[in-house]
Amino acid sequence: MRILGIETSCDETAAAVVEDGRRVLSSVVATQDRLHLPYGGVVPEIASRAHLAAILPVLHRALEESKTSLDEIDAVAVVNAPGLVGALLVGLTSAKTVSWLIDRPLVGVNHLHAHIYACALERAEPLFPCVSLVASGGHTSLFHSRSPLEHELLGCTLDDAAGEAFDKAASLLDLGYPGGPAIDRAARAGDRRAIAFPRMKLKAADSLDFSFSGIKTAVLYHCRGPNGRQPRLLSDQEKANVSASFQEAVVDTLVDRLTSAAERTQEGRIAIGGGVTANSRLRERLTDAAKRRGLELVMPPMRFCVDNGAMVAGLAWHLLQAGRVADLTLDVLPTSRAAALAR
Amino acid sequence: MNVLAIESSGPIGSVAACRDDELLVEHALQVGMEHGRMLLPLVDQVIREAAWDKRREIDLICVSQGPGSFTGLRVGVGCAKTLATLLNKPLVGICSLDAMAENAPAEYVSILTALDAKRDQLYAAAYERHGEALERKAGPVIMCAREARDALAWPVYVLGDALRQYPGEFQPPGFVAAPEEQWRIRASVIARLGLEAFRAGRTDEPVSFQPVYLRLAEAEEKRLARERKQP
Repeated sequence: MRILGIETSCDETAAAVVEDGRRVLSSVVATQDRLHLPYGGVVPEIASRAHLAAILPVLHRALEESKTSLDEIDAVAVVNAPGLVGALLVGLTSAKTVSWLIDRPLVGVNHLHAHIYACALERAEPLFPCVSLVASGGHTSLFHSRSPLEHELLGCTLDDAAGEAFDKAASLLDLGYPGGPAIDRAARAGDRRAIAFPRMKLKAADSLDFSFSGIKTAVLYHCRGPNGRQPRLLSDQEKANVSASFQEAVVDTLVDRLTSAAERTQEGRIAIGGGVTANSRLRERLTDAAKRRGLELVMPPMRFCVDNGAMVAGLAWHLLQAGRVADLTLDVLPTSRAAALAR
Repeated sequence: MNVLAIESSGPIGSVAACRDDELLVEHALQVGMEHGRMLLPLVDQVIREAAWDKRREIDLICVSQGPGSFTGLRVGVGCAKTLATLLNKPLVGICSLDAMAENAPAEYVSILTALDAKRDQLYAAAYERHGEALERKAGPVIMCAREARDALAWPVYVLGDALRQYPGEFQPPGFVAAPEEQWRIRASVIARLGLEAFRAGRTDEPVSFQPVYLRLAEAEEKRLARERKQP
């Protein structure tokens, strides 16, 4: 069974064809990084316009590269939540149009669940049950994932997403956008003990939630003085040290929460997904922590860390088996409402 | 020739099916600004009522191209360009203000359409009637209400929700305000204008087809303004 998956929830226009939930026949991603570069973050209106310009070429390539004709598509899957409303609507409209035209089922897919599922693509061994972390520019969420369709939210960020903190830090250090890869690169030459940035503290000691606004502010003060308005000239070595120290603080938090969640749920397997999980230091530390604790760590291939259509088409296969088909009135759910519902 | 037309630039969207110049079916979205959720069900309903085979019997797709609601436009344009590409059928985009101007009664010669564009501006176009046809003399452009008012030779018949936002700018005797029901853009008018354009040899390339926004994203406007100040 071949499913076409479409994803436009943030700043990547993506489509893919996946067979039987695992075999990725094509995965095409058009990134908009360059468009958002001058703003140091994703501008929703710019993203929505770019999605509309890119969606048809991306769809066309996904079908062509998978050597799939329109009539060989058995279902059309699309991310409808959570994300930027205007951006989600572009993918949703195209998905509905294709599904309607070829009379094949439409499947609405949750973006976060799809990121977890990215670990199952092209993997023979089981992934579920597991404890999973999705960390990206828009989300930082921890789940107890019992099956492809059952994800219990254990914790999520109370303010900024981990990826947003990376973007902000990179912008303060003039390292460019997107911040994740830029910090990762700069940090390699830095000393991660150079600056003792604060680790997140939450009121409830047993909370599995996240908070990144504190460290963001600490980086701001470090780079621009205690009132945030006196930019200091930083040498490349200082920038590398700030990058490494900042990255270590964020990674500490992510590793801590994920391993605590595994302990609490008694799960022996942990999985990660989302753009931030492409970070080399996070992967290194998680590999290490998993080994020490005897946990199995599952990481998606790099190309499935960022937003992509394959994770959507893959997860949709399970939704379809469970009869979870949408009709043409399927709507989008923006990030804020989706988060409120998950709580 | 079977024409499918979509309007989603304004608060009330609509979809129409026409056979040549004859309107077969037209339905409006009952709930305002729910295009993302409700447009495709409406397209489905219209095609069913027209009793067309959707894969074989749509010959031309016409869509309201803007200006108007950015999000609304993307839903209509996204649907239209996906259909045109997959069906390999011609696509024609129609200026939403042109379609609104068609609602003006025949006795008025000078017509202004003006949509509230927020931030003290409006999307406007000016028309002159020649017999049956309206000729667009200016626009569509984004401008402030006073500029639009001063640019026109009086008297002018004005349509559009800018009348609600800037009632003081469009007063008699120079201006005649259209009643609100004439502000509504109809898919059937998009179909008629689209078919005329198609017969005159015009089609749009669907893959690269974009709405006419007339305005950059707000963040982009602000950045450019900053850069102009500090070159």
